[in-house]
Amino acid sequence: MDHRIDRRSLLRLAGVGALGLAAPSLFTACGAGSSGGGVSNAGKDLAPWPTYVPFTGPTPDAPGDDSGVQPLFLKYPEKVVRSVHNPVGDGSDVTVMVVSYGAPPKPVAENRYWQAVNQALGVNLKVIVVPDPEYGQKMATLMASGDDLPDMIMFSNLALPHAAEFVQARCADLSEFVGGDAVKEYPNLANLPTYAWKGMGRIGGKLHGIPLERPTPANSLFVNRTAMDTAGIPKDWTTEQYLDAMKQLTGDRKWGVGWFKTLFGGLGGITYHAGSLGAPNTWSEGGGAFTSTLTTPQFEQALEVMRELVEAGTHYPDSLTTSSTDMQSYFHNGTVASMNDGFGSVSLATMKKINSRFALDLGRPYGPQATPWQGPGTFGYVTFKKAEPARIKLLLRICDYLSAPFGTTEYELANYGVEGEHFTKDGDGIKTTDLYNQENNSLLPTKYLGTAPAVLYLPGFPDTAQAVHDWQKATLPRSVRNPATGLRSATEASKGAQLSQIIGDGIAAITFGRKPLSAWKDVVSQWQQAGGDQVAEELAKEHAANQ
Amino acid sequence: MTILFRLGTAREAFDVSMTRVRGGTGTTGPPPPGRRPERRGHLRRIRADRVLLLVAAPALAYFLFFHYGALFGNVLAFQDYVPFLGVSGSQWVGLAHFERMVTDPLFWNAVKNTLLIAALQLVFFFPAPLALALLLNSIVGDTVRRFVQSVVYLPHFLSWVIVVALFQQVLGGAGVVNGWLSTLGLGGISVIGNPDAYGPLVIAQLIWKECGWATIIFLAALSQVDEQQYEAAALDGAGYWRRLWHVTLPAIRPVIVLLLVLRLGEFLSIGFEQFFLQRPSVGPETGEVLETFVYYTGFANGDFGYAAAVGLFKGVIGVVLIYAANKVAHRLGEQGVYKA
Repeated sequence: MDHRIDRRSLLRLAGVGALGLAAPSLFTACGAGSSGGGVSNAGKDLAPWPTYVPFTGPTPDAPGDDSGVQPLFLKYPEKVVRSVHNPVGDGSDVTVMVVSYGAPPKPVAENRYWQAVNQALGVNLKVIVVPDPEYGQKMATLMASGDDLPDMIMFSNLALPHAAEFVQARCADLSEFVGGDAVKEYPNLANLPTYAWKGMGRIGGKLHGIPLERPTPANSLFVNRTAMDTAGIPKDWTTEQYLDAMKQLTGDRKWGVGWFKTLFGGLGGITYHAGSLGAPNTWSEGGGAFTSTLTTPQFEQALEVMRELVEAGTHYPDSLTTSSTDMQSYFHNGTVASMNDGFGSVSLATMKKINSRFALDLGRPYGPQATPWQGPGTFGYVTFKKAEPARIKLLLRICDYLSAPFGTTEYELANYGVEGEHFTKDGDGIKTTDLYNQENNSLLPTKYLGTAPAVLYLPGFPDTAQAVHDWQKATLPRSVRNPATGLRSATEASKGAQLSQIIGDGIAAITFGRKPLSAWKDVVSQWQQAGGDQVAEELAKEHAANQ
Repeated sequence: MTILFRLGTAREAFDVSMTRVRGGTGTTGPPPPGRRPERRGHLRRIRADRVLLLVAAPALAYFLFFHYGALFGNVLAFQDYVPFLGVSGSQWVGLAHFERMVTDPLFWNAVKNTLLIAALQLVFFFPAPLALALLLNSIVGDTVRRFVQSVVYLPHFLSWVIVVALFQQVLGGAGVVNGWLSTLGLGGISVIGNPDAYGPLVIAQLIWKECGWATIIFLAALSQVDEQQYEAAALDGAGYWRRLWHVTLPAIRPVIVLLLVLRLGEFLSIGFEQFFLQRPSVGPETGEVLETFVYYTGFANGDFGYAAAVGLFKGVIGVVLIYAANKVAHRLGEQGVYKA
C-alpha cells in the first residue's frame, strides 16, 4: 500500500513541477519579462466580442435608454415564455464557488429552491459559499493552493492579486464557445449586452468568463426616504444641504451616514462624493494618456466633505469595524439613514428586509457639476475549470439557463423560486411567500453563476421601482464611465490589491482625522510610486492597442 | 531551571523504561561472553530500544516536517514567488526583497509599531501575572483560591474574535459605555478607533485575556518555596513585603528569568489575530505590526516573496535576541533556557 501512495504523490509533484515550468514560458512567449505580462491584450489576437442578439420580451411600462436607464416594469408580464428548450445537464455533480452576502443556505435536502434548481438544470449543484468578508482571503488561498478547482469559480470585481494571471493559467478559454456568432448557441448569453462583456474584458486577448451583468450605476447612496421626508430634506440637494441633512438625521442613537469596513479597502467610500463633485470616474483619458482621479482637486473636495461628516459626528461611530452585512441591517432597521451599497441591492431581498419600515430611495448627487460614476457593467464573471469541450458546453448551458431574461419561466425559477411554494402570481404580479425569505437566490447565490440583464421590477413595490426609475433618469444622463474598464494592466493585475489598499487606508486616515487633508499628496505619491504611474502607462498602451 | 530539571527527570524515566524494555522482551540479555559488543552495538541498541524509537517517531516526524521542513519555505524570500507557478517556476531575485525592505517606509512603520507594543507588553503585561500569582498565593482559603483561579483562567479560552468584539461592544462609539454616557447627557469617550488609546487598549485586552493563564507557571514556582524560610524570616521580624523581597522573589528568580528570556526571544511576535482584527479601526499608521504586515503583503497583496523576506528578518532578530538574553542570564548566574 505504502509504495502506491508514494508513487501517486510523486506523480502529483511531477505534475506541479511541469505546470511550474510550462507557465513561465507562456509568459515570456508573450514578450513580457515580469509575471503578469501575459494578461495584457496589447499585441494579441483578440477574440471577437459575442454577438448581441436581444430577446424580444414583454413591453415595459417605461423604456430603458442608452444612458443606462433600465426598462421599468410596474406589473409582472401576463405571459411568460420558455427560453431553454433542450436539457441542460447530464445528472453529474457540478461544484461551484460563489460569494455570498447573506446567511448560509439551508442544506439541499431541506431546501426546495435548491432542489428545484438542481432538477431544472439536471445536475447536482455542490455550492461552496464564501461569505463576503472572507472572500478576498478565501480566493487568495484557492489561488495559492495547487488543489483541484471547483467546476465553476465566480470572481467579483474586487481586485485580487494575480487573479487575471490565475484565470489565464488555470481556467478554460471560452473564446471558441462564445466569441462572435458562436454565442448564438446559447441565446440567453447572446442576450447579454456587449458592455457587460467589455466590462469583464479579455485576458491575453481571450474570453475567459461569462459576465454577471449589472446596470450601469456604480455603488450608490441608498437613503431612507421616510426619515428624510420627516426632516424636510429635498430630493435634489446641494453640498451644504447634504451635510445639513446628515447632521439633522443624527442623534438619539441614530446616525446619518452608514459606512462599513470594506468601503475603505479602495474607492468604495468616496464614489458617491467624488461623483457628486465632478471628479473623473477612477481615470480620465485624454489624448491617449491616463490621469488618475486621485490627483484632481474635485477628489480632494470629496475628501473634505467626508471629513466634515466625521467632524460633525454624523457617521456610525464604529464604521471602520462594522461589516457590510451588519451595516445593511442597521440601514434596514433605521439606525442609519443612508448607506453606500451596490446598485444590485435595489432588489426584492432588500425590500423584504426593510419590511415596509420606510420608503427606500437613492440619493441624487449633490454637486452642480456632478459626474456620477458608472460601474463596470458587471458584478464579476464566472470562470470554468479546464475540461473537455462537452463539459464546458454543459457548464455554459448552466450559465445560459440562469441568465434567462425577465419574462421567461427560467427567470422565474432562478429569481423567485417555485410557483406555489416560493411565490404566487395574481393580478398584481409576483407575491413571494415566507419560504422565499428562507430560500432564495441570495442565500443560495445562484445569481452569481449567471444572471439576466437587469430590468427594474420590484414585485409588490411599484412605488420604489418608480422612485428608482426617476432617480436613474435624473442621474444617469450625467454619469461617466471609467475609461480603464476592461483594459488589462499587468501592474494592476499583480499589485492592484496593494494599490487599492493604499488608497483606502489614505481615505480612511484623512476622513477620520488621523491625518490632515494636506497629507493626501503623500498618499497619492505613495500610490504613484507603488505602481500607480506604471498602471497609467500600461493603460495608455492597452488603450492604443484596442483602438 | 525548570526545563533542565524536567529534562533530568525525563532522562531518568527514559533509562528506567529502557531497562524495562530490555528486561521485558527477554530477547536481549547481557552480551554472552566471547562476543564483541561494539561490533553490533548500534543494531543491538536500535533493537533494544525499538519501542521507544517508535514512540518518538511521530514527534520526530512532526519536527522534521513542520519545523525543519518548513524552513525551506524561506527560499521564497529570494524569489518573485507566484503561488500557482510554484518554487520551480518563479523567478529568482536575489536580495532584491531585502533591499526593498531597507527603504520601505511601510515596513519600518510596522517595525516601529511592533517595537512599541512589544515594549508595552514587556513592561505592563510581563509583571502582571507575577503580581496576580502572588496575590492568589496569599489567599488562604483553598476553595476561594480555586474559584478565583478558575475565573481568571477562563478568558484564555475565548478566541481573540470574541475578546475584540466584546471590547468593541463595550467601549465602541456605538457601544454600551457611550450609550450610557449619551443617555446621561455626557460627551462620549473615544477608545476604539482612537490611535492614541490603541497601545493601552491592546495591553488591557491582553491582560484581561491572558493574565490569569500566565500565572500557572508562577504559581507552580511559588508552591516550591520552602515554608521554613518564611517561618524563619517571620521569627526574625520580617513583615509581608520583606518576606516577599527576601524569600519569595529570590526563590522564584530562576523561573522569572527563564520566562523573561523566552519572552525576549519572541519579542517581535506580539500576536496576530488581535492586531489583524483591530488594524482597520486605527489604520496602518498605528495598527500595522510585523505580523499583519506579512499577512497583508503576502496573502492580501500576493507578494509572497517580500512577505517571506520580512518573516525571515523577524526570525533572525528572534534568534539573536534569545541568544543575547540567554548570555545575559548566564552572566547573572542563572541557568537561562539552555547552556552551550
